[in-house]
Amino acid sequence: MTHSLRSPQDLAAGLLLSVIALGGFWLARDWDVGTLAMMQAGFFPRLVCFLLLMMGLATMLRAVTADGPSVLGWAWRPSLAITAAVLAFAALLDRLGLVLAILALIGIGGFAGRPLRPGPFTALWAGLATGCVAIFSWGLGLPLQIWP
Amino acid sequence: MTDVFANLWLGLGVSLMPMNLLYCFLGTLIGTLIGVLPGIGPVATVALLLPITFYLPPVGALIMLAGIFYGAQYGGSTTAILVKLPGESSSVMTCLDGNAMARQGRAGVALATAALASLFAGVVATLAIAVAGPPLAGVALAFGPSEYVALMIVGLIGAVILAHGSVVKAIAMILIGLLLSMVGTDVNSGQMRFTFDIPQLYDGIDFVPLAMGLFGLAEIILNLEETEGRGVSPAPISRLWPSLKDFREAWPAAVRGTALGTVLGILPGGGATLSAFAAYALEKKVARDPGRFGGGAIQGVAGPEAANNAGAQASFIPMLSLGIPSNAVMALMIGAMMIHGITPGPQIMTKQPDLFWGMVASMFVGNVMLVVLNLPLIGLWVRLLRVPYAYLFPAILVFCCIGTYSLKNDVFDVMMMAGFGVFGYVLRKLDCEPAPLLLGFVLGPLLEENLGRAMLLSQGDLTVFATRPISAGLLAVAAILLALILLPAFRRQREVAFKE
Repeated sequence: MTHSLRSPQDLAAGLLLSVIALGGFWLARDWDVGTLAMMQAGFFPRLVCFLLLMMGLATMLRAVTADGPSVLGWAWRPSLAITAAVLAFAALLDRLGLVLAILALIGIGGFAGRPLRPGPFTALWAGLATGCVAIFSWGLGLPLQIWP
Repeated sequence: MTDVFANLWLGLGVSLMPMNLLYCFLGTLIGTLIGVLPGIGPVATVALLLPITFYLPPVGALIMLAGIFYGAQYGGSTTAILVKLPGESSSVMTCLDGNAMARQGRAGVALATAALASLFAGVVATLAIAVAGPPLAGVALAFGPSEYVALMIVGLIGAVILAHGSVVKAIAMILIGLLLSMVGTDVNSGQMRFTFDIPQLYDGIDFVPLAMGLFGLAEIILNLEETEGRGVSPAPISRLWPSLKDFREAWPAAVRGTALGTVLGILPGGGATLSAFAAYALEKKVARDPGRFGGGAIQGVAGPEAANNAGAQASFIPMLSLGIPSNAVMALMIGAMMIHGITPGPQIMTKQPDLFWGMVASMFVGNVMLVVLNLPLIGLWVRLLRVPYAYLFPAILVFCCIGTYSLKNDVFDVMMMAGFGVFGYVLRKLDCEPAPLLLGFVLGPLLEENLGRAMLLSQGDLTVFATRPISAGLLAVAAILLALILLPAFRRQREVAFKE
């Protein structure tokens, strides 16, 4: 059977590429293309999206013609914890200052791996906060808010 | 020839100024420090450390970045030898025999061999830059837009060959990089492209959040997934200096590796990885007893180590003289130069000779520093390897966040980095290597501008690429490269090469 799915990973990759390409086409729908001699803002995006769509389709084609690995397990804990930690840092930095933003960052980020015990965690927090204030605020003179 | 020495003399004057010497020292030190950490390769290291160079003068910043780069490269070899964890693909070959030597209690000898071979290679490759840079830049001054387009296509195809896995996916990554580079206001028409009405995107996506997300955050997630935060146990170190016999065996390999690396590094898409692979294959071929390879042959450390350093350094040649990055690290260097308002290309050499030659000469200084620094500090690196990842990754996270924030003092960049981190992780899960994406991102604006200009000049006639001799020649090279990847025999070899 040649039409059964033989490489789920390639199918997923091909779908992702095609969706990005089609999204690009849709966003670029109103931009002026111009002519080959007088390219306008819409020309290059459409060219790139077209090529990307071809690559996406080729990858999907390979998914049914050649054997490949299945999509490997998704590490939910690390990916969610790291993303949440960075977003929390971004949300808190301007409001509560650097020291507490770092607390949130390493506190939430810690769940990506095996969280540290309270003692070492506090030491790490103190060390990182002091180091950052010393380097970025005093050393480089960055206008950082340090305390709430 | 006298010109070369006069230029290097000028450069040495710049790079030996106390402040520049300090930047070079700090760069190699911090670069090694971060590069030694398992799972952080040169690309991630340079991306992580970009922000600390924002506040330096341009010459100092470039000297420091170059130092960070070869420090990271060397740090990667250290982890490859001690714990068999190559920081990136260019030190994969070092793993084989280097780690075997370490397990025989000869870790110190392997590290010293790697350091000395790298030093030799670095010095020779720096001379090659000094000799080959100016003529190449002279050729480049005669380039019109169609030649630039052809050159960039050669570079991008070269990057495709070196990416792991599927060629189609590698091309797709370049295209996504090109798409990302279009975000913002189009310079010609003022049209907003892919901005989603977010004011922070009007000026385009910044290089730093993109690189840090794709390479910093995504790599943390991957490392946590693979090791669950476990530490690694490095091999113990005893004697450091190679014996006379080791030395006699190693130096011809180092010379061969240097020659190979210097030549392959200049090629677009070439650089450290290809050079190291080729050097290992060559050593195995010329050895009287190929069976010893993989079991701790010192030539298997000296050859690839010399080659990857020579290749890494030689890839500065196309970057500095043509303004075309040949790999992801060079793309980062170009990004850094642009942040400092320097446009890489043939004109730097004539317009800012102190910058160009200062950076080239600093490579001599940096390579010497690397050896002086590393041999006594090997014990420290070993201890650093034992630090549990549970302490390391929060520190890296903090650095990523503040580094990105410091670019514009805007938390939007930090959020964007979080997004790119997830995207980078998705790409790796789908077996798409993100390094070509970075190349596409850096080359995007140049490619669009030159393509438009070439077409404007030829009034929309596509044959201009074939009728102008230099662009026709370059496109022929691109076509041959592309044909090579599609050939079944070459394909199999490439797969074998990436398997180990």
